[in-house]
Amino acid sequence: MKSRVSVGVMLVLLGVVSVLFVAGALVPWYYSRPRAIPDAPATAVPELTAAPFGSTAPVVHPSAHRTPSGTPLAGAVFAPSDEVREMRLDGVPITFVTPRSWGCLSATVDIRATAWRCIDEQAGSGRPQVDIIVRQCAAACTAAERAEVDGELTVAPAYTVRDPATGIAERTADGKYTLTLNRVFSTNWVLVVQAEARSQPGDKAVVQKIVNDMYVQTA
Amino acid sequence: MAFYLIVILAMAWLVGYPVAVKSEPRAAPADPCALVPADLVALLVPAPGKPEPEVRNNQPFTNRAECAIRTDHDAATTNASASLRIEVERNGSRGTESSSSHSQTDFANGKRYEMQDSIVQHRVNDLRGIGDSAYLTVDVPRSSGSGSAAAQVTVLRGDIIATVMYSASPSSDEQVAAAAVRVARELVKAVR
Repeated sequence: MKSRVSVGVMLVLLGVVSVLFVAGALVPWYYSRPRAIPDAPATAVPELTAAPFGSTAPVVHPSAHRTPSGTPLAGAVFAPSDEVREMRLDGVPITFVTPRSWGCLSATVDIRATAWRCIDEQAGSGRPQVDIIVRQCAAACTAAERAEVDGELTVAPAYTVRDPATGIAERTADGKYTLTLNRVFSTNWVLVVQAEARSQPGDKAVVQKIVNDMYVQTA
Repeated sequence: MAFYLIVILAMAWLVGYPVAVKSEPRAAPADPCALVPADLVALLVPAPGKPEPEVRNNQPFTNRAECAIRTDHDAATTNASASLRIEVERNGSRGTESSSSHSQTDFANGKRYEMQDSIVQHRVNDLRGIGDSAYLTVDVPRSSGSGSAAAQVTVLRGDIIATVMYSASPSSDEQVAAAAVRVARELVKAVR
């Protein structure tokens, strides 16, 4: 009877030991096996046959700002002591300067051209502004192409021709000073700028300074 | 009888226990971008800037190399721009895992994360015929209206996990996916 109990205990112990051995064999296998890679829906990607871009357009890099020299177009010019900031606008091939309080916003016109409006951001209503339209012509810009850009202006200009590439118009009406420049540069670019100043006495000089600087940059 | 049973179980345990041989990771390529054919880079990245490779070799478990080629906007002549970024990981053994098991585990975990990420949702698709396993990831929904698109291809091959991230503008999901897959194929072919 005693011997049968001992055999029973032995068998139970053997069973426990066996389970431990099996578990001991499985644990390292469990931790060393590579994780299964989850499945995702398969896809067939077409071969690359061309550059992976939609329709692109040429970009215009503004030229570096040049220090003004020579005779100004009209009125005041920036003095070395003036605090200015350089404006490098997308699509405008020149860098020009404005007072530090000015900023520019992209605008739209009905013709194929790039347009911006720059304003004194710290001035209130009646603040001075400068509208800029630039257009790249297919070849040398024609009078018709220049006139088409003029058609986008708020105030129709009556130009005085300074030289074959430059027209300037100054007008004061109802307390508003308007200075307009139409200029061909680099043969196939036309720049049209219309600056307006109406309220503050110093605004007229400020817009003249900006337009004069743009004139120099397109020389 | 009990003795024999114990001996058999002990042998089974020894057979089943993987021998933990320490295997250092192999060196990652110094500049993964240099493994992509130059004409392909020129096709994918307009006005490419200087590649910025970074390699960390002699690591205990994983060596890594990465590089990026981006459009230099100051030199670009059109509004097309792109960014190509490549990462290559070479894994060594980790604990009882072999190099390739280590890579497969990390690859599987990464894929599982991409498939389950609920913050940035991705469209994940398996790709056939690249490495041992590969998948394509595209953001869903991608930012609409911006004209830009981005795709990522992740490839497992032995001890290597290679990731190609490509974004372009103006472009589409289909175009950037085709570009990323092409780069991944060339990369996997070139990495020794």
